[in-house]
Amino acid sequence: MNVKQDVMVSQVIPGKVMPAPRKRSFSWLGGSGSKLISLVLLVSVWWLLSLYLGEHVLPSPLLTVETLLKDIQKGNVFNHLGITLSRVFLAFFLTMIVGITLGCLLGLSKRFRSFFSFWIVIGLSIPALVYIVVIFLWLGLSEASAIVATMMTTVFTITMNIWEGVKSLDKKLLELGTVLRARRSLVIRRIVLPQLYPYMMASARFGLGLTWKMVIFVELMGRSNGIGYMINYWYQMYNMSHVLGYAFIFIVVMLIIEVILNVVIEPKLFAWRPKKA
Amino acid sequence: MNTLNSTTGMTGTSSATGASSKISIRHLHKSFQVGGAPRKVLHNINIDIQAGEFICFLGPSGCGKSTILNILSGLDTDYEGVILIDGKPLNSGDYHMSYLFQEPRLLPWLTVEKNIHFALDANRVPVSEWEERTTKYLEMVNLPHVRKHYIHQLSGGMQHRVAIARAFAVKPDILLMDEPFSALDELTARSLRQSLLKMWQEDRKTVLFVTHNSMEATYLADRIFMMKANPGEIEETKEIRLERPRDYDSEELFQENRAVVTRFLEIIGRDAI
Ligand SMILES: Nc1ncnc2c1ncn2[C@@H]1O[C@H](COP(=O)(O)OP(=O)(O)OP(=O)(O)O)[C@@H](O)[C@H]1O
Ligand SMILES: [Mg+2]
Repeated sequence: MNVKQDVMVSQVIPGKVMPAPRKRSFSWLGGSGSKLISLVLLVSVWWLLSLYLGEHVLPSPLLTVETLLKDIQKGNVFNHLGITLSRVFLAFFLTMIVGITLGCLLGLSKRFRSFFSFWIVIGLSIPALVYIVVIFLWLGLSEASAIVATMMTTVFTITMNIWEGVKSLDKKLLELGTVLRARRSLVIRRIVLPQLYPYMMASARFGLGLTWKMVIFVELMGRSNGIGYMINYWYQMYNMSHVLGYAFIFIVVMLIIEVILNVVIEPKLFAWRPKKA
Repeated sequence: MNTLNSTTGMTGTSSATGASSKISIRHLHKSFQVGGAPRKVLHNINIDIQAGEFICFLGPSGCGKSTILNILSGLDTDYEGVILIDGKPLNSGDYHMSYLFQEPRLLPWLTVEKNIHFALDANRVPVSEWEERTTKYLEMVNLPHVRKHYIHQLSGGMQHRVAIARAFAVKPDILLMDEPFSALDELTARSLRQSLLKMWQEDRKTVLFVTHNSMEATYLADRIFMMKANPGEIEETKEIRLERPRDYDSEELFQENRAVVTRFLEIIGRDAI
């Protein structure tokens, strides 16, 4: 997980994400032998570390899963998971809409660009923690502020990325639309959107990844339910196995969602591309 | 091999599909701003083109041939002068136009047939006709087997042929072509010129065809507009009275081409002095 997070952080800094690499990540879930071994190895390292550090510092995989199952039996894990997931998707959805809109405006309207591009740069450079604290202070510890705070941490990066995509629209293909006197909706559907898909896809992958991490953070700071809250709760109790249990199930669910995005949706969108040798 | 008995003239007989359009250009001037100062590119162009006529523009590089097509296509609206299509100002009439760019400009995310459908859709051709037209024009460019291919799966020449099929599929009243064959090998170019004439003789669009190649112009055109550069002007209009279908290797075409080249060199030469 850590390695992946580092990659994402390094992508945040320049303020844009490159369009989707064609290589499929998560192909290790495809079940080839060496990938399975690598997974087993990871779990063993976890287990060995827990032996070395002691169960109260790092619970073993077995204990973690056991605790998780007990929590599930008590019946509130899925409650919290559901609450967190709905926050993630609401925030993600709104972020994408706002980011794509702003990105298109920046790319298409000169006036909008000359006036607002500076705001985006500022927005991009404000640390996530500042957004979260300030928004909770201003808007109170409400559901709305949780969503807005999460959005603020992600939306400018998405905006920059979509803007990049709009800037690189092929002018010659747009001319084709003009010459054929294609109506606007057809130009958008057949000429503009296909060129933006790679940028949207990269943004979505990046946005979802950052959003679900931020939601946990926001829940910890200012909500009284959700995975983030529960992790904090058990942290206060100094009970690592519950902390890991909650983290574990959430990570698994989010990974599954990302896999669906990568393996199912993306290849459909990009079927026209030459297959890389 | 159709037996085509149309002669040099224009419109007249054929046209199974209806219209082609008459073009008239009056006092067309065009300048580009280069480094703050205007640079004259087209000077006083006056042309009348009959409906169904095949016109070639022959001129040295940079004389403004593409600029003329860009203006006619509506891409470039910054010019002086009057352009009438069937008597109505440019872009206001109800004509269909195709512009075959120097590059194929196909949409890589669509298959060959979807590319053609896109053009048909843009021209508001009823969906019920798409299938038939796609088949017909892909067959004309000899590519019936690549319908489901994506663009990157075609060779450069095949892509040009798809672009030609697309340009024809919308049954334009006016077809603008900017050196469509100059990037191709001579064999492919020849076969495409042949298909082009075949299609033109069936449908009789008004064709404006830009080229560097005098032989190509002589082979294709009813009339050749010879241009000089700096600023671009039409220096001479040469009518080609050879019978159609023409034979690329025939003696008459060769002779005619020699006359064209001689005249053309005079124009460029005078220009160079
Ligand atoms: N956007 C532009 N800005 C400034 N000058 C331009 C622009 N486009 C074209 N020109 C100039 O206009 C002249 C005519 O250009 P055009 O592309 O019409 O030439 P052409 O006859 O098509 O040449 P070629 O046969 O090489 O394609 C050239 O001298 C070119 O430098
Ligand atoms: Mg040109």
